[in-house]
Amino acid sequence: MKILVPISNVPDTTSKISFANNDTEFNKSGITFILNPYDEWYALVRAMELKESGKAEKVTLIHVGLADSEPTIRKGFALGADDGVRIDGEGDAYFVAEQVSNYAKENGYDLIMAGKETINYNGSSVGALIAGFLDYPFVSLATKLDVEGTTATLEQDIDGGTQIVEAQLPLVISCAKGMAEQRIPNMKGIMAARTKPLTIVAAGQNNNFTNVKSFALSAGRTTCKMIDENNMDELVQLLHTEAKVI
Amino acid sequence: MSILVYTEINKGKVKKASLEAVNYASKIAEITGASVTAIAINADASQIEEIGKAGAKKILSIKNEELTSLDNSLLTAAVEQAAKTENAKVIIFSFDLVGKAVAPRLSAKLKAGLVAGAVDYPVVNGASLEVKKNVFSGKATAIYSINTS
Repeated sequence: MKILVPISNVPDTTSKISFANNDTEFNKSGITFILNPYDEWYALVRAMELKESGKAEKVTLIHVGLADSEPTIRKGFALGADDGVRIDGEGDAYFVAEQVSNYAKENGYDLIMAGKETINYNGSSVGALIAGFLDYPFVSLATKLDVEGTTATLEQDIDGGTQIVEAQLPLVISCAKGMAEQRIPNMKGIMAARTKPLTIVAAGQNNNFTNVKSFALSAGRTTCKMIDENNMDELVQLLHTEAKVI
Repeated sequence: MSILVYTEINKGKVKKASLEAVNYASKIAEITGASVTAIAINADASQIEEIGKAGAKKILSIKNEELTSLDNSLLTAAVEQAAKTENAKVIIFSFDLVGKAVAPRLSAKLKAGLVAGAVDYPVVNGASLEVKKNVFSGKATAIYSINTS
């Protein structure tokens, strides 16, 4: 079984976020980038566990991004991935998924394991997009995965309980909490990461169907506003005009 | 032209998030002059009535037990067929387990722009919709422009 793990290069969770060019671009200045935690902790670590148990023969990382993301890919190598591919381009989730799908189609993977979302754009959509492009079965937000032969058994949380799903390979899944525990790369892994093969591939057609027009920092916590219990009209008006929830 | 919205029945009731999605779709319909068509799968008469009260002008009631299995490829095919039949330009899902699985899949099938996790009503700007969503794990918001229909 060959496993493909799409990974993202994202700002460290402790980063102070700011924007440039009249709030139309993320300001990368002074930001430390890391391997997206959900791709790392849940998808990649579980993929490595499957390889260590003899159920997978190879784990390949794939990243759609520019050359400055190479340290993040090498971090994935340090955790044990065998090799990696960087598709040289940037774009929205649709673009990223289309590039990953095209590569996967040409190179034949049995299992594609994405993290549940990225911590920068929080879209939760790349895994399902890849499944759509490849016309593979998709299990979203899986919390457990095991594979026997060509059958995967997964668990996912649903309203009021847990659902156990069986699916045939080839398969795309997005991985959520419970899939695996975080690992810290050991010295042997870090040394080996330097020489593992990273292939650079030119991006294909640029289908960017969305673009960010502007960013704004979220407002901090606001003060609590007390409304007299007999003044329902004011409460309704504030919920409508300020909170915008009704 | 119509705004298509996917609704879900859970434990005998229309999900609250689905009713919110219908209401959200009706607001977009007000802005764009379109009408709202809801998809209701294996819904009974009272559930269909509830979806109508939330703002749907037309309801496509699909009776197929296989669609209750949450198999997202079957649901995607059903919504794709409805979108083509209704000439839908905008399709709305709740940002939940089913929405996160079906909406992107549908986006790939229809070659349509996708914004996941909208937090405000969209703004029509010429031929594109502008949608606000949370980014950077809630530290910021972004206005996305969708360039397809």
